[in-house]
Amino acid sequence: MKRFMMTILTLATLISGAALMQTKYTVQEKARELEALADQIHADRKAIRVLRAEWAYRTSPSKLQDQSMEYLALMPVLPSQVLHDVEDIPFRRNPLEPVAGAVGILLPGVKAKETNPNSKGSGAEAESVTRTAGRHQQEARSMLVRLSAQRDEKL
Amino acid sequence: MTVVASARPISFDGERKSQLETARFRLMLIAMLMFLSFGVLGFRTLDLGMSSGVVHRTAPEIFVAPVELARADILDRNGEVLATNLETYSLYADTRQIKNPEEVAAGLVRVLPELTMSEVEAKLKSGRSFVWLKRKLTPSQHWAVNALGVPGFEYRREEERVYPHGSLASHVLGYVDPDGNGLGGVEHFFNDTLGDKNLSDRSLKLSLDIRVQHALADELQSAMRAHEAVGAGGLVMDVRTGELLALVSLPDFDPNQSGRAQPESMFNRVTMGLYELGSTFKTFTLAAALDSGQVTMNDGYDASKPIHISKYWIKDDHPKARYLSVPEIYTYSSNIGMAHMADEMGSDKQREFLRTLGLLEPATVELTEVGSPVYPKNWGRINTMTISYGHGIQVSPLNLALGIASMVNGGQRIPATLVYKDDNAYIDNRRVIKAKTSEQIRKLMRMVVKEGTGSHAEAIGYRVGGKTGTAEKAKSDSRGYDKKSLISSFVGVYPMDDPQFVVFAMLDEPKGTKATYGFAGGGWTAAPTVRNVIMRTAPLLGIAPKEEVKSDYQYIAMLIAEGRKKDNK
Repeated sequence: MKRFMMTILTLATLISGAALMQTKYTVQEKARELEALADQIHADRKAIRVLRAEWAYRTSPSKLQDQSMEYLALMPVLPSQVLHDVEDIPFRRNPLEPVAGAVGILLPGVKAKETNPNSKGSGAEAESVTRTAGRHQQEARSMLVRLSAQRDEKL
Repeated sequence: MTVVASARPISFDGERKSQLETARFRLMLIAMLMFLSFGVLGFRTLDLGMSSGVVHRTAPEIFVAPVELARADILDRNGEVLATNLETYSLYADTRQIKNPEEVAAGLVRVLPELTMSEVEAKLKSGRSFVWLKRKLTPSQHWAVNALGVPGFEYRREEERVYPHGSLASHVLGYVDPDGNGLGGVEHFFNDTLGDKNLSDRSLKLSLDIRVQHALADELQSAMRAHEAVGAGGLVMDVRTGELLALVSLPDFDPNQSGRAQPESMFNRVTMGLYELGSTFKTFTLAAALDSGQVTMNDGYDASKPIHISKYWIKDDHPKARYLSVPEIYTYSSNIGMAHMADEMGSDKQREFLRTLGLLEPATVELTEVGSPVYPKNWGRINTMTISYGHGIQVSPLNLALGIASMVNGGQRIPATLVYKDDNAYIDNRRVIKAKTSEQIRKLMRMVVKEGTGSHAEAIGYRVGGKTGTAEKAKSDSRGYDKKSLISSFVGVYPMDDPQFVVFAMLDEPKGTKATYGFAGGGWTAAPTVRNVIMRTAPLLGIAPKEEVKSDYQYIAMLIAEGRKKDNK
């Protein structure tokens, strides 16, 4: 019995010893990783500084203006283009009718699919698109109502 | 131990026995101690190996070495980088290690074409252990030189001040010398703070908005080109906090290459330049008169004939030659009417008013390039009359803008600042005029744009008000004025029903063009610039175009309309 106990104890000690060694090496490994990470963070921060400076250089207003004139021809906003009242935005006459040809572009969540009238099931597809469009329109309408209610409260 | 333990005890007697027993006792003691220690160790090992319950989290401090820089960044109010320090590497060579100088020189010149072959070769053949080849390489140059793989090429880490926006806001930012000492603008004013090693991870946030700065610079530049002006200046300022959102002085310079800048382009016209700004000063005369109760909107002065005082004539640019009401004097910019008004006020009152406004002292702003106004020592009657319409006193455009800001913001005098302030940081400042007077001035300034000399500043929807200023420059021999060279300016404020921003534009010696029918005054040259700046920046600054309340201006409009009727008769 005594002998058995001793064997168990010795074995357990040996196993725990091995486990402890393993843990120790893992910890060392982690510490090295941590150090490497800290170095990486340091290097990244340096790089971020350079990138921020480059970003500022490339998006400097005069550069953007040149690019815009060349490719986009965007002009400054005119007073007539600014809406400051929710009620100035008109409702669509028939919210259930999808916007011609470009449903997916105007309404989020609807996948723009090329509707081929010859293919089967296109009718059902178009119907489902219309239904989704209608739901979105309703959501938009309720949002508008909420917004104007908020504004009224403020006033 | 086993030997001792297994041997059967042999009994001894007497002294010998006690000796043996002592020895045995000691041995046992040591054995016990050893056993105990091993036991503790074993137990602890078991404990550590098996325990999974309580984890003692003593996470080591993650130490990330800070990016050390010699100088802090400068940002605009939206966090856009205006000035930053970047690491660069400078190339030097230990020529003793270079065996084939011709070949190496050829390779280096191919990579860095700005170097000359003969010079590099001479340097490499010098046999010295340290010779500079190129200072401050760009990252791509650094990479290319590295790719040559020449032993003997070494780098030294240096820092370079970079201004990503180039010449934009150069007069605000200033520049640094090669050693990184600020020599102008905020770089100079905050040199100690920016250069403090302990503070270099913080950045200085300016009140500038780089987008507004660009819009103003762009518009001034095109106005300068159109009117062939020698210079231009302008600013956009928050009338409540005194924050400068833009400050432009043209011609400007590139702070990245400050060494190559022309000295005159370094001159800050807006804070350092002193000018007789002309009619914009009428705002102050009128405000003083209205505030003291000397005049009301219903009063007026006779402006039918020019005033002759000592050897000068005071005339109107657009003479109406009749009795003018107070609103008319301001909207039609009558010098004669203003001179009468100031004459009635008296020199002392006028000087005191300008002093409380801060127009007789350098403007407070975080720049060292600030001009101190020039005004007559003996403030006589003639001075009072000319100063009433902005002649005979030289102030900086910043002085003027500050004065105008306190005229429209409800009557508070504010200090100008280039440092970003929290929106809540509004401090109640010294009152210079009554809130009611401020309201009247607002209406009158709006009237100038609606009906008077500033009509070219009308930006539909943004309720712009303002005042034109056209002054002849003093001749260089300081004898009288040069009729041809003008300082044309316009100071605008918007939106007039709740003033937020002062927009000032000034052109130095503009020439009339076909589009302006040959006129070069403030109403024709600077006012359109202000309008364009407002149109471009109001959406950025969150000011919505709105229809104004017409009834606010009904009374003044009526007074002016009555005058019109007289003219038409």
